[in-house]
Amino acid sequence: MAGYFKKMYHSISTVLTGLGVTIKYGINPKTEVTQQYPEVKREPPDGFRGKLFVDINICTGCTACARICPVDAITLKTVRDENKKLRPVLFDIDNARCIYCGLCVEACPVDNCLYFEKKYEFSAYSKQDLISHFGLGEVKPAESKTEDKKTEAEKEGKEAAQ
Amino acid sequence: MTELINRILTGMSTTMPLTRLLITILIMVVSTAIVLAVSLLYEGFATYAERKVAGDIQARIGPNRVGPYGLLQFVADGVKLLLKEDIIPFYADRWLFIIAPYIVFTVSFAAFVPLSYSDHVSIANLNVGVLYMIAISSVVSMAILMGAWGSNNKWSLFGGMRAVAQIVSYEIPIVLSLLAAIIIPASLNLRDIIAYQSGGLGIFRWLVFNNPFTLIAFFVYFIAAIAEVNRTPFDIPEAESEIVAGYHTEYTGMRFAFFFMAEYGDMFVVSAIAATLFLGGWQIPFIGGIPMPVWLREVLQIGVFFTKVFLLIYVMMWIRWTLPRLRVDQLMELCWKYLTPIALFNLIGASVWVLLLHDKGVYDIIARVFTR
Amino acid sequence: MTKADEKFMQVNMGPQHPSTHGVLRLLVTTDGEVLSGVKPYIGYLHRALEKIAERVTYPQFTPFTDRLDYLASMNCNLAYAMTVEKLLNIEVPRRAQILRVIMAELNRISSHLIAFGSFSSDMGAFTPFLFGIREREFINDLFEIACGARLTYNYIRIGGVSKDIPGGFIEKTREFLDYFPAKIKEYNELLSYNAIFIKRLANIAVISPDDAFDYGITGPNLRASGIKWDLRREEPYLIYNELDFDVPVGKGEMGKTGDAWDRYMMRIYEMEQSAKIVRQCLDLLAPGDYTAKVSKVLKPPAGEVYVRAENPRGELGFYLISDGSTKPYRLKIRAPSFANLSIIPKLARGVMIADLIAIIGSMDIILPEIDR
Ligand code: SF4
Ligand code: SF4
Repeated sequence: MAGYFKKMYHSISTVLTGLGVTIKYGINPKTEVTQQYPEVKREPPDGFRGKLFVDINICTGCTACARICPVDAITLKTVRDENKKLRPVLFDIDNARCIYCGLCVEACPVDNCLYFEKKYEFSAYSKQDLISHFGLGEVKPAESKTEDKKTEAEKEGKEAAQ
Repeated sequence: MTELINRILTGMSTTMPLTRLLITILIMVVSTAIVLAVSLLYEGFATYAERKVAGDIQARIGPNRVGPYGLLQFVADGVKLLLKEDIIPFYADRWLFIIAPYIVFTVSFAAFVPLSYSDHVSIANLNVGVLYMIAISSVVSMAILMGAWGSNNKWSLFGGMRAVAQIVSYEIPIVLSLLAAIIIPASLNLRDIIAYQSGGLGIFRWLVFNNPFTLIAFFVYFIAAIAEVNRTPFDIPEAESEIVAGYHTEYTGMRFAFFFMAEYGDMFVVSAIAATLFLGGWQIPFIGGIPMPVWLREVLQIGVFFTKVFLLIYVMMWIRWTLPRLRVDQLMELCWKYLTPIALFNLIGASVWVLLLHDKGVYDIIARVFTR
Repeated sequence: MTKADEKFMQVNMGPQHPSTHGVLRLLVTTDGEVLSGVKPYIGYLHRALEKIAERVTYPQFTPFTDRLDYLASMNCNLAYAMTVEKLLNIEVPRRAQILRVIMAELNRISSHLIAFGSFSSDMGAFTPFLFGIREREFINDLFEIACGARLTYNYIRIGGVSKDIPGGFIEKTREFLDYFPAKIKEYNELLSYNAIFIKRLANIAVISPDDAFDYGITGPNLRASGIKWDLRREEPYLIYNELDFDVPVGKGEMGKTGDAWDRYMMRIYEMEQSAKIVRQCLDLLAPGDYTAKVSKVLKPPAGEVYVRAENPRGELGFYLISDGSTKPYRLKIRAPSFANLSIIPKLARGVMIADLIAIIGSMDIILPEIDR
């Protein structure tokens, strides 16, 4: 019988303790932690891994980023321009595929060429719209043929450019 | 309401039986429509309040987009539910499936009828009000089982079985604890019960303060009532983490909304019973004795009554967002091993008190001592 | 189905059930509310991670380990990085080691917060879930400062960590550590010692030490059975042997040792210990290199290694075979949740449906790790 009442007392007291915790929040509106998203936008910290951006003019077309990408989110095609420099004519990043791992950014040998923007709102209506195109499109091709190993890529690049 | 009809009819010159009948029906329809509108409005705001209370307790904001402070959220919810596709499962028992939500809703609405909102405002002044309330609220279990069985879904069936077991068991402590209160005014009429609780500054003659047994009875009733309306920690018939959504797993759109609204309607009804029987109903505290115009008194009384009811509803919400859920056998254990025996002893104690002290409450006794 | 089986009902729980923690499917055989058997079906989240490992290079696989146990990505990163480092014989600089411990322990806290929260919502109390999420948000912010991501961190790399922590990280972490103990107290008041919660969990699904060994249970679930086995103590990696922390074991405070309540409580205790570890590490942090010199193309010598680490959910092991090329020849992942899941059919015999939910919740399984 004593156990019966002890149990009852225990239940009631613990339930009341719990209720005490919640009422503190219930009557104090200052405890709210919600941020009202579209009105209040959170500023991501430095180094935030948002949308990828390529400064295509300083990109050397080394394809290090495309090779390291574990999910093949970067499509890259390069040709040599008149100064025999590799230029990326096609540089597509599929944001739907990208897992924002940051490996490409670390692999890029050029400073501030490939980096993450602090941008996290880029929803789109179709998957196609999620591909960002950075490629130069067309460059003036090199005059003379080179014995570069990337002739294959070059040819393809030309075709794509045409 | 009968009085109202009689008064109007006696004030009229016509004696044609057909006209009288028509007028009677008209008055009934109009008053029903008013009550329906009010109760729907209440249910809408109750869903809003529930979400807001949950938000507050969980350190969130809750709905705040539709209308000022999100007050129109329930309209948006209602429109959304209306526009939903109405799915009736292929293997469902169509007839049972369709009719169940309506019964649940009708029953919860019917329980608004004998409530006494103020001295003069009530829909029907039943002399067996309490009995009627208890009887009508048990019908819900049947309707829930109909819906659950009709859905032809195993989760629904679990929910339905649990609901019936729970509601039927919890009727007993409810009735026993209500009895402990109504033996004092010795009436089943809700208005009489409230009238009995007048005096004592409008607070101290509440039945809950009448004697220690009614105090316990109030808590027993309130716990059992939470179980009766299937709310956490007793929400096992619709325990979403165990049996998906219980008896309304297969319901969508408006049919689901009926179940949903009925739940809030039931909450109002059980809180209203608690307010009426234990907390002095519409007795205005402190300033009740001051003379004032009738209309003001009526408005104040309605205000007081609703305040009490809403406070109790707030407590229910507060409990819901705090406690974990009981298991089905523990629920029965709570009912049969704790609430029922306590309510029974309570009833005996209250009866002895009434016999010995001739329905004098603690307040009466103290007042007597002081006036001497 | 035999004649004797006909009185049983088969219910399909999941993969879309609210509390199967993802996409676990359980074929439940019940006799009313009482279960007579449970059969888990897995594979709804199979992504062939082990096969993917064979077609990507060693560094490229790190982001995939994020997706093993997505609530404890840091710990998965860590285990994988240690595996490859062992194969390559890389010495990790001290600062990197300390940073790794900080991250792993913070991630342990955040993972346990989710375990606590989702378990409480399984038990019907939704508020603690949001409280858990609220505290986890702090940790997510910390990780975001450190590595730029909030869920799939890919921070701990082969040779060290991906970048040094920026200024302000240490202060913010200290702020969190000061704020956190009060919250743990709040959790205990709200949920851990709540009578309903204890009643739901005490003496439910007791795992005896023998069973725990037989089924290969690890992590908090093993320690709840009273066995003091923590890889951070038994086979210290990183700088764990310099740190002062306790390994909490189940003592059967509310019932038998190894019951669901013990398993739940292990996580609360471990959060306290992890906070203690992080505090010590912050004091130990001295300037230095954040990563060892690792060449861009990794070509480990042919050979095999097995490395295991203490994850929030148990021992995560990587068995790696290298054939001397840039890609792993074979990577076998020993996922703790898989072993933990395997005991559920044994535990869930003769219990009730609500208990099954308690069992799954208390084991704290995570599906991406099981299905891989
Ligand atoms: S962030 Fe990762 S997934 Fe995205 S493009 Fe770069 S390497 Fe590929
Ligand atoms: S790694 Fe950098 S420089 Fe090289 S192709 Fe990619 S973006 Fe251009």
